[in-house]
Amino acid sequence: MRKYISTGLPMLAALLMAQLPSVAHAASANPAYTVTPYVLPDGVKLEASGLALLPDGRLAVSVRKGEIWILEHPEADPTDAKAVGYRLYASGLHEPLGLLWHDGALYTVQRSELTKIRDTDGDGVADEYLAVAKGWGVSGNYHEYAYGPVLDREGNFWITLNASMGGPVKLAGHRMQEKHWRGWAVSVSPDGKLSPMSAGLRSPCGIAVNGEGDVFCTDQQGNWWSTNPLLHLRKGAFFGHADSLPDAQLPESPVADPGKLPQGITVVEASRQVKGFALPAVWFPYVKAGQSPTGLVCDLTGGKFGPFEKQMFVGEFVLSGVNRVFLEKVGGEYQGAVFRFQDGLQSAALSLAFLKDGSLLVGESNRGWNSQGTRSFGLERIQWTGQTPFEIQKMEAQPDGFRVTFTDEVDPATTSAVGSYQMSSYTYLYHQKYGGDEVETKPVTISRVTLEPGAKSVLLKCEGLREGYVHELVVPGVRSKKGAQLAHAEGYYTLNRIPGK
Amino acid sequence: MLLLRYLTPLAFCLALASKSAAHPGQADPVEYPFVAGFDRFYSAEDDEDHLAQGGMLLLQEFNCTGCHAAPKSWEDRLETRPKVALDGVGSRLSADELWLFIRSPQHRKKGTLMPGLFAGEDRDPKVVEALTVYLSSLKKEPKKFPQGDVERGRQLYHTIGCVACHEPAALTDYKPVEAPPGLDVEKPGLPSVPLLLADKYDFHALAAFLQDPLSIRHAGRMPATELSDQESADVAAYLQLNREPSNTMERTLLALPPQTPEEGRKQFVAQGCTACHDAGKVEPLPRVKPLKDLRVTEGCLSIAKKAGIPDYGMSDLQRRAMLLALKDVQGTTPQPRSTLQTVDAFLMKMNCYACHEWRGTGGLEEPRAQYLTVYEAAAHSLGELGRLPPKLDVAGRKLTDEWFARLLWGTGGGVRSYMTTRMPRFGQDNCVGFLPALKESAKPEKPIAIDTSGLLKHHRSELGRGLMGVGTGGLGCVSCHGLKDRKSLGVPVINLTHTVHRLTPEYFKELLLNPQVTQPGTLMPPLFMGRKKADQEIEQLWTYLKELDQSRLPEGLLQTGDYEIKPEKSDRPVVFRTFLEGAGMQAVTVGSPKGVHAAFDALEMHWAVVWKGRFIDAMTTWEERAMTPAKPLGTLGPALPPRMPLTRLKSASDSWPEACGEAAGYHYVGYRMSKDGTPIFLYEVGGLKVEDTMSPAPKGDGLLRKIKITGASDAVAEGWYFLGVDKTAQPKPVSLTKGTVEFEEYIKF
Repeated sequence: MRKYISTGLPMLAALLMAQLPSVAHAASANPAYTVTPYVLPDGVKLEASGLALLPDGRLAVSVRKGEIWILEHPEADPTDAKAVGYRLYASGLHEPLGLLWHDGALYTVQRSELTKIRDTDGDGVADEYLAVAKGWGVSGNYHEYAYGPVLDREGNFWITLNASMGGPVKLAGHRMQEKHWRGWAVSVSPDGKLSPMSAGLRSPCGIAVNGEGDVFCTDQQGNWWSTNPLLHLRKGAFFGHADSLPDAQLPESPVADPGKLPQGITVVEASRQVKGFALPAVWFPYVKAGQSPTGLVCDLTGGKFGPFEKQMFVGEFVLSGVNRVFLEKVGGEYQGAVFRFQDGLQSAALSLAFLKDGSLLVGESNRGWNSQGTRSFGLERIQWTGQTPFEIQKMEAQPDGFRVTFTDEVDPATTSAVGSYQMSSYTYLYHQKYGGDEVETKPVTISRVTLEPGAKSVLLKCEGLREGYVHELVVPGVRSKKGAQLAHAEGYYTLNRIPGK
Repeated sequence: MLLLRYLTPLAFCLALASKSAAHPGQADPVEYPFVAGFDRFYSAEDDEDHLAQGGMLLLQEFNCTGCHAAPKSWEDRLETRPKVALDGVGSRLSADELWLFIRSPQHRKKGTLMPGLFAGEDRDPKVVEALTVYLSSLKKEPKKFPQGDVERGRQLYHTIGCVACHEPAALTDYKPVEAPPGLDVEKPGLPSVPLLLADKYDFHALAAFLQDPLSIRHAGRMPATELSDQESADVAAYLQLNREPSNTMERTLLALPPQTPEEGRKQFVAQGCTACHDAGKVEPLPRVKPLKDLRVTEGCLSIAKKAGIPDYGMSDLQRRAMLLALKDVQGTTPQPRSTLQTVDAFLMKMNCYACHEWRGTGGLEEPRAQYLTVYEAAAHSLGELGRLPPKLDVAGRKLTDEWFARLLWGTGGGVRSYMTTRMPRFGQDNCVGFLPALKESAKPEKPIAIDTSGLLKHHRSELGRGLMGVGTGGLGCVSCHGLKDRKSLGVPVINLTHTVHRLTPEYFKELLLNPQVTQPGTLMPPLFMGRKKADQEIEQLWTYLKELDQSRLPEGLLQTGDYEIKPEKSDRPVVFRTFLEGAGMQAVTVGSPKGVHAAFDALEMHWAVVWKGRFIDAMTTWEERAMTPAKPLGTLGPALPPRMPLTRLKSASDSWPEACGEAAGYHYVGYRMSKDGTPIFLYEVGGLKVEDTMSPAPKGDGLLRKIKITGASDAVAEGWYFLGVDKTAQPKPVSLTKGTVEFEEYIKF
C-alpha cells in the first residue's frame, strides 16, 4: 500500500513538550542570579536591537525604529530612570540591528549600509553618518534584515545578511533588482572593502566574536534548517540554506558552488556530500534549547558573571530567555554544548552585552513575532549574586565519551552512579522544508562513570558515540556536595568530531 | 479516405506530444478510469484484504450500483453516486465533440469514468448518432461571463489549488513559486485528474462549470472554488489557450441518415444512460443483474468486449481489486466499520487527501505543494503553515457546525487571507452525513470545561481586550493575529474576528493551554504555560471575541495614525530612512518644520522626490512586518529627473549620460548635519567631492538647493559640468577657484 505523508510541517512530539513546564519555573530555579528590568522614562520605546559599551562605562543602545540612545550610568539602579540617565544620541537610521564602539565612533548596520556615527562637535548628539560600506542587495523585501557589525582579530567588520523571502518588490524610483549576498556573512576591511565570506544563512540574527576573535552567528529554524544552529563564520564556508547559492557563481565568491543540493538526507550526510558544507558548531535542539536564538556575547568578564568564563551567552526570542554555550576545538574546528541558563524574561531577547561590573544586559523587542515574555520591548539586567550556582559548567568530548565538569563540588555517591545519567543521540534532516524533527534517535549507553580528583568532574565512558550527532545528556540524579539539584540538568553536545579519531 | 482515417489520429498524437511541454490540458493522461484515492493508496503489492477495499472504492466511484442493485446488507456501503446532469449539454459541447465522446469516451477523454457502450467494429453508428442528436438538442444558454485573461487564469489555476488534483503546466510555461531556487523542480508523482475536454467546451459554459461544478456533477468530486465571474472566465480562458478546432472529419465521412432527438432519447433510456445521468423525468432502468448474481466472466468485468456492455477500460489492477471486492459483497455481510475507517473512506472518496493530511495519511505531495503560495510576503515566515491546507486530525472538535456548513457547502469561512489556496465546496448532500464520524474521531481524551457565559465577572470583555493587545498586561495576540479590518502588527496569521463562530470554545481553550500538543507544529507560543489564572484569562479572551462588535480594538491595532512623523512639531529637520515611493529602497527623507520636504536616493545618489505639507506616516516602516514602502503624504512638487548632477562632457551640448550611482562612477560617503540639523549629503566623483543640501526656500514656496564642489586642484574639474534638477536646467561648466565652486538652485512649487 502506498500512503503518502504530506509535506510534514515542523512537528514537535508531545514528549518534547514535557520539557516546557520548566520554562515557567526556571526563573526562580536559578537563585545565583537576579533579573531586573530597567524602568524606562515615559515615551522611550527601547526596542533594543544592539548594545555597545563605551570605554567610559556608558552604554549605547540601538533601537529598531532608527535611534541610538545613550544610558549615562547603566550600572545605576535600573528601576531609577533618572539615575540611569537616558539621552537620545542619533536618529533617522534604517532599522539598525547591532551596535559596536570602535576607535572613537559607533558603528551600526542599517538595512543597506554599515554606518559610522560620530559626534564631531561634542554637543552629545551625533552629527556625522558616514557609509563605511554598502553594496549588498536590498530589494525592499521585508525579510532582508542586516545585523552587526562585530570586529574580528584582524580589525575587519563582520555583518550577517538575511536571505530574502519572496519575489522582488516593485517600487517607483527603485531600479536595482539584483539581490546579491542575501543569506551571506560579509566582512568589511578598515578601508571599506566589502568581501563575501560565508554562504547558506537564513536569518542570522545574532553575531559575535569569542575570546579568540573568531566570529560566530546564530541562525533560525525554517527552510533548510531543521533546528537552530550556532555557526562559526569563516571564509568559504557554506552552511546549507540554498537561497544564497546563485551568488556563489560570482567571481568575488569565496564559496565554491556545490551544484545540485541533495535533500532528505541527514545534515551529517550532507556535510560529507556537499562541497564546502560546514556543520554548525552547536545545534540548539528545538524547544529544548530555545526556539529562536538571537544576539550573543562571550563572557570576558574575568569571572564577574560566575563560573562561565569565555562561554557564550545566547539570547532566546520566543521563549524569552538566555542560553549558554560551551565551545571547544576538536580537530581544529569548534564544537560544544548548549545549556539553558535563564528563562522568564519580560520580552524577547534580541541583543546581549556585559557591563563593566560583569552584569549581563539583555536588550529586548518582540516586534513582528511573539514571545512568551509579554512585554513588547525593554532592557533587563542579569546579575550574579556571587553565590555559586550548581550547573553543568562544561561538557568536553573525549575519545570514548565526555568529561562533564560541574560548577561546584559534587556528592560522590549520586555523581558516581551510572544511573544518574541518561544519554541519547540524534541528528536532523537536510531539506528545504520548514523545520524538522530529531531523527535517527538512539540511546547512548554510559558504561562507566569516573569521578575525577577534586570532585568537580566526571568522565563518562559511552558506548555508541556517533560523529556529527547531537548527544543529549540528562543528569537528574546528580547532587552537589551541599545537596543541591542542578539548576539545569540537561546539556546538548554537538559531536561533530570525536577527539583522537 | 482510408488514408485519412489513419493519418488523423497520428497527426493528433504528434500535436499532443509537442504541446505536452506546455499546457496542463495536454499533459499525459492515465490510460484507465482515474480514481485518485485508488491510485494513491492501492497498489499491486497490496494483500487481498486491502486491495478489496480499493475495489469497494471503485465499485462506488464507477457507480456500479447505479445499474446493479447492492445486497440489502451492503446498501449503505455502496450508495449510488449522485448523477451528472445533462441539461444544457448541447450548449456546452458541439455535436461533433459529443459524438466523439459518446462513441468512445476513453479514447476522447482518457481517464474518464464514463464507460464506452459501443465496442465492435462499426461502433453502432446509428445509435451513437441518435444519442448525439438527442443530447445536442438539450440546449440551455449558459450564463455570460466577461472576457477572461489568460495570464490571470494561469496564476489562479496554479495557486488556488487546482493543481492539487489537476496537472500543473510544464515548467517552461509556469514555474512554481515555492520551488527551491537552484534545484530541479520535481514533477508530480501521482497522476492527475484529466481535463481533456475543457478546451472543447463553449467558453461561457466552461466558465459556468468552473464556477458551479456541482450543478452539473452533483457528486462533488469536482468541488467549487468560490471563483468570481471574472476569475471563472480567467481560468476558462487559460484552459482554452491554444484551443484547436474539433476533428469533425470522421462523423461527416460516415454520412449517416439523419436521426431524430426522439430516437436518441429512446436510445438514451435503452442504453441505461440514466443510471448516471439526469435527464428530466426519471425513467426506469433496463433490467440487469443485481450485484450478488454477477458473474465475472461476463458483463463489465469480462476481458472480452461485447457491444452493449459498458467498457470502463479499467486497468488490470482495478479489475483485480473489483473482483476481490465483488467476492466480499457476494459472499459475506459487511464487517462493521470503525469511526476511523468511516472517516478514512470519506476522505479517500472525496479526495480530501489530495490537500489535507489526516492521521498521517494524505496531504499534498511536495511537487504539487510548491505551487501554493502566499499573497503577503510576510506570511512566508509561517513556512508551510502559511501556504498549505491544514491537517484535519483535530478538525472534528475544532470547528463548529456553523463553520463546517460554511466551508463544505456554504460561502466564505476562510480565515487565512494570506494563503493563495482556497477551501473548495463539496455540496451539502455529499458531506453532511460524514460530519458525525469526523467529530467522533476527534473526541478529546479528557473533556475540557470552559465557561462561555461571560456573566461570572464584570468587565471580562475589557480584561480580554487587555490580554489581546500589546503593552502592559497584554499577551500580544495582535502581534500575529489581525482583527476586523486590521492586520496584525507582525506575521499575518489567522484573523480572529470570527473565532467564536468558527471554533468550539473547548478547542479554543485546549489550544491556548497547550498549543504544541493540540496542533503539533503550530507557531502559537505557549502563552498560558505557568500562568496561574489561565482558565479565567482564556474565558476573558473568549468573551472579548464574542463581544468584539461592541468593543474597542486592542492596544496595538488602534490609532495607526500615531505613527505619522510631524516635522512641524520639531524645531529641527527630521531625517527618516525608509523604502519610499519615488525614491527607492535607500531613501533618506528630510522633513522640514517649514513643511517642505525632500528625499535623497542614497543608492543612485541624487535627489528623487520633493513635496509639501504632511511628511510621512512611518506606520508601515516601523510597525508592519511586510514593510510596505512609505509614501510622501503631502502634495508632490515637480518630478525630478533621475540623473546625476555632475559629469564630464566634451561640450555643453553633449547628451547627459543616463547611468546613475556607482555605475556613473559615483561613491556615496554619507551625510553630515549642519548646525541647524539639515543633512548635507556627501558623495564623490572623479576626484571631486560634493556637498549637496536641500533646505526650504525662505518664503516656504519650494526648496533651495546648494551644491558645493571641491577638488584637490582647480584642474581636477576640467571638462566637468553641473546640471540642475529643473526641467529647463542647462549644463554649466564646473570651474573651481582655489579648489572650490558652489551652485544654487531654486526649486519652486
